[in-house]
Amino acid sequence: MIENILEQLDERLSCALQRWKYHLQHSGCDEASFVHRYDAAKAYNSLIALLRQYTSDKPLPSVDRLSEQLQQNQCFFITIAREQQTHGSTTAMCLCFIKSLRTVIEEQLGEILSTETEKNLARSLLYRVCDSIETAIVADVEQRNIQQSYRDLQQLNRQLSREKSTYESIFEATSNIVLLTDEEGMIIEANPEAKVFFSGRKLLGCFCGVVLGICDTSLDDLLLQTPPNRLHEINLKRDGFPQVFNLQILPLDQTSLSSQGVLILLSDITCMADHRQALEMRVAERTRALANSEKMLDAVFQSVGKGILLIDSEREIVKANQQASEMYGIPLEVMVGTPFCALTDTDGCRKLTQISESLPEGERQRIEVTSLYVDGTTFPSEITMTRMDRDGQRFWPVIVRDITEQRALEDGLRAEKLQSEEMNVTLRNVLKSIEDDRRKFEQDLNQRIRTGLLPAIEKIRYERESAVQSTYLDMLKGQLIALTTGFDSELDAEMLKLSKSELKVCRYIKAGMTGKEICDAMNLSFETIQTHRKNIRKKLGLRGREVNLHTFLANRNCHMDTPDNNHEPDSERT
Amino acid sequence: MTTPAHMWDETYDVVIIGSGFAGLAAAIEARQTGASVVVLEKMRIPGGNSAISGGLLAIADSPKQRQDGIRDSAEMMLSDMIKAGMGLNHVSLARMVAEQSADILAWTINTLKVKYKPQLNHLGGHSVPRTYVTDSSTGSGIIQPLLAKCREMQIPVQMKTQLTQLIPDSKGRIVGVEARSDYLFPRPNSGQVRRFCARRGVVLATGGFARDIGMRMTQDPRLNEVIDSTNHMGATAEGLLSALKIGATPIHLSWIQLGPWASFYEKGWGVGSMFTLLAGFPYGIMVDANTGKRFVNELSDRRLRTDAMLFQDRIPVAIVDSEGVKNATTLECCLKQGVVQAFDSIEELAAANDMPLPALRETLERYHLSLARGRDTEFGKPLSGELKPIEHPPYYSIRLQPKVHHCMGGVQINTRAEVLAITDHQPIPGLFAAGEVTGGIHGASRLGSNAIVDCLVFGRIAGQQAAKSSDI
Repeated sequence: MIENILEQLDERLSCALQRWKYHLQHSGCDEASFVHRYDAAKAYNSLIALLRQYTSDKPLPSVDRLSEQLQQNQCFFITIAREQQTHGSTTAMCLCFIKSLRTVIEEQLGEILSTETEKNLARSLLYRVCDSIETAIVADVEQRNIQQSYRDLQQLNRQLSREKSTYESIFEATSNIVLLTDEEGMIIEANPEAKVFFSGRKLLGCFCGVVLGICDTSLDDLLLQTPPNRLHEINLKRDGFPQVFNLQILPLDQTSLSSQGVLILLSDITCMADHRQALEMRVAERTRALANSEKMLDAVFQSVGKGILLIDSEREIVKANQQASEMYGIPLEVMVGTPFCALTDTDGCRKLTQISESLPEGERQRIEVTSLYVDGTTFPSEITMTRMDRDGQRFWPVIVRDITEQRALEDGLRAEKLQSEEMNVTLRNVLKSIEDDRRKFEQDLNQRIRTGLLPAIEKIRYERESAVQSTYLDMLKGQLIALTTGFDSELDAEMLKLSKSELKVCRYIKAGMTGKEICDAMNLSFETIQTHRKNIRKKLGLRGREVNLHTFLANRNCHMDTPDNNHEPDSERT
Repeated sequence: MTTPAHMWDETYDVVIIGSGFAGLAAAIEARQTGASVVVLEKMRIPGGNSAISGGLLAIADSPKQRQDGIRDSAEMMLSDMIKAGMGLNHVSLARMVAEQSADILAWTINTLKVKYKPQLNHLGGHSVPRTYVTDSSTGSGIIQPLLAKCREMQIPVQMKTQLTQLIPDSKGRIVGVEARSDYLFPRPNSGQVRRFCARRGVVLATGGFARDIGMRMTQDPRLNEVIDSTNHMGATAEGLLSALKIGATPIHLSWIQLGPWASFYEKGWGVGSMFTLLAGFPYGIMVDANTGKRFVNELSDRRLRTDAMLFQDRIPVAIVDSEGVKNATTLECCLKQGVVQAFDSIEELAAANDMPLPALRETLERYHLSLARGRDTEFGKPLSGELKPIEHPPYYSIRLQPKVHHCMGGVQINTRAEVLAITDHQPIPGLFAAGEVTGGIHGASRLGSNAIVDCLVFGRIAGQQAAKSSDI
């Protein structure tokens, strides 16, 4: 019986191992390097154990069945094959391992003492078992690969499912309307938001252009009208109320060449559009208000009665008002951009440059310069310059006042003042000279009276002879009359002889009146007047002389007013 | 004279209405003969449009042209004027302007000591560069010397004096004017009436009527109040009408020119006009911001440009690069006031102006190709050899708006600046006119930089002729 053989095989372990090692080396499977001696021994014993297990089976089970059983039982060889595979051995190597083991046992069988029949039986069993082991190992490997693939597939599946569910979530959860179309633009997918918005109309299978209300011809036409990848604003009606959406069309072939169709995204910007409208209105209002205030400012700028200029840091005119234009005689358009120095002389330019360099911000300074009118005429002007800093730049608002009139007034006043002062001096001199004259006259008079008159009077007092006295009196009279020279009213000795009426007649004659007129004026008869004239001539010593009384009187520069001259009607006096 | 002496408040030999180029030139010439002269100006400051103009003078066969080797002649200038004027010009008058342009230049330099910039400019409609520009880039550069000269020659310039009517005697000779002194524009009937006797003649130099919306619309109904004007506020029609009322012949009144170069963001002439005139149009391109494409020859006659810009819903924007702006005299001012914007790249320029970038790029490419070829086949812009491609940043853009600019029409004059009557086409004795108030010199469209030359040439003639004029 085979048992005998098997026992003998058992005993031959070490020899078998030797032989096995030899075979492994010579078969090219260099397993000897990493096959544990222990494992090899175990393999040998296990095989023998397997043989022992199946010796009693008549008939021998088929390879299939046997390998199945081996697999099911997870026999040692399967375990070790798996182990070896994790260490990097290939299936082929494992089989080589088994085959060389078989060869070893076959050789052992040749040397064992036993009948041929039993040896043959043992041999067939060996072959059957080894084949089965080999088959089992291979099947196991395959099984394991399938399991692995399955596991991998499952993992992939899970991943895909996860991702799909992520995209599904986005698709379902987004508040945007999302539509997916095929290559002809027919809607094949619509997210819940789309379905809600377009509720009441069929979506799937419809042309997207029609649904969006853009065009109803073809996808190409739609893309022409609303180019892809750009935002377009469209109006869609919901329950009859227009709403504004941002439309975006994304062709799927952008991502993958084989994909067809487009993705349509619609986001509701009605709120924003309304806000935008409100914002636009507000901007328009503000712009209007700004324009108004600008107009007001401009009106003020123009209406101020003085010339206003705005100078920049390069000392060029940036802005000017009408008054300034009129003052300098230059149109506004030409003034803008002109250097301010062109409007004044070198001295003025220097002064202005000085101010612009030294004036602190917000401070003001007033100076007088000579300004130039367009034809070269100069005029005096008063300039008030202020410094204003804005956005890091300096500006100088300048106010110009034509002070020609003011200057003229000032000059006039100055001249008058000068004149008054001169007049003052002159008057003072005149007064002084008058004073001097008066004093001198007084002195003169005193002297005359002292030296001439008083002594004469004394002489008269002590003189007994009336004739001499008379002469002295005449002399005195003459001297007294002489004293009156220079007076306004010169006492005329001769005129003193005349009576009041006669003096009046003289006055009339001197005035150039005719006899008739004198009669009327004095209310006397012509004869009376003639008598008076005769008497006058007599008293003035004109008798016999061919002298016109009028001429005589005129030449005689005498004052004819009597002390009691008044407008009473004349009374006759002889 | 049949008018009693005591009806006149002031008496002069020559009375000149208007203190622009034409009026002041006439005053100086009249005074030169020894006549007593007064200039009456209705606004508060002298100079009118002349003072705010760009100071550009087109001179045929000038010293600078000779220096730069540019061949030019009065005939060429005349032919340019007639082409722009569509042949409506009165040739003898136009010829005077072209032929006397070089002399006028010399007069401004020698007598008035006016200073000009060293470069010549090429303006639209001129076949060669022939335009001088004053140092200050404004007409004030000539007005100020003219006013100084008037002061030197003791010519009184009375401000705030508005002409109300020309006074003819019983034989139809103009013997004086009635005017309002202390007139405060625009209040009609402000001030007091005064009468000025003109023993020899009256020169009308009252300018055009581009700001007179009523008159504008009567002659050209399209020019309503929405369209801005480059002129000063006083450019109204009373002077012209006073001449028409006494029988002067009206010429070309409905030919009113719009200027293409003024900025959309400024009122009136502003600082942008000179920028476009000197740099934008000659050295750059003009595109419609809606399409990014060019739409007209940038150096064509003004009428062609403004028609294309104004009545087609376009948004015209001129674009020029750093090479081109070298010729812009008012660049600093323009940038300061935000009328012109600078960009580091074409993309930024396109974005800021809301222009489609690919179209703009294509436009630039095509323009550069034209430059290389030397011919602008699309719009016929004359491309001189010195023009360079627009490719050097920074790039500058300016948004434009056509504005009413010049009235080609006015009273008819002969070559002696005498105003002609409509009844017998004979000169109205004692009445002369010069400048924008006259018509016939420019025909349908005035070439840029021709106005100052016209005003000075005919101003001087009017002054000389008025001083010579007498009752016999």
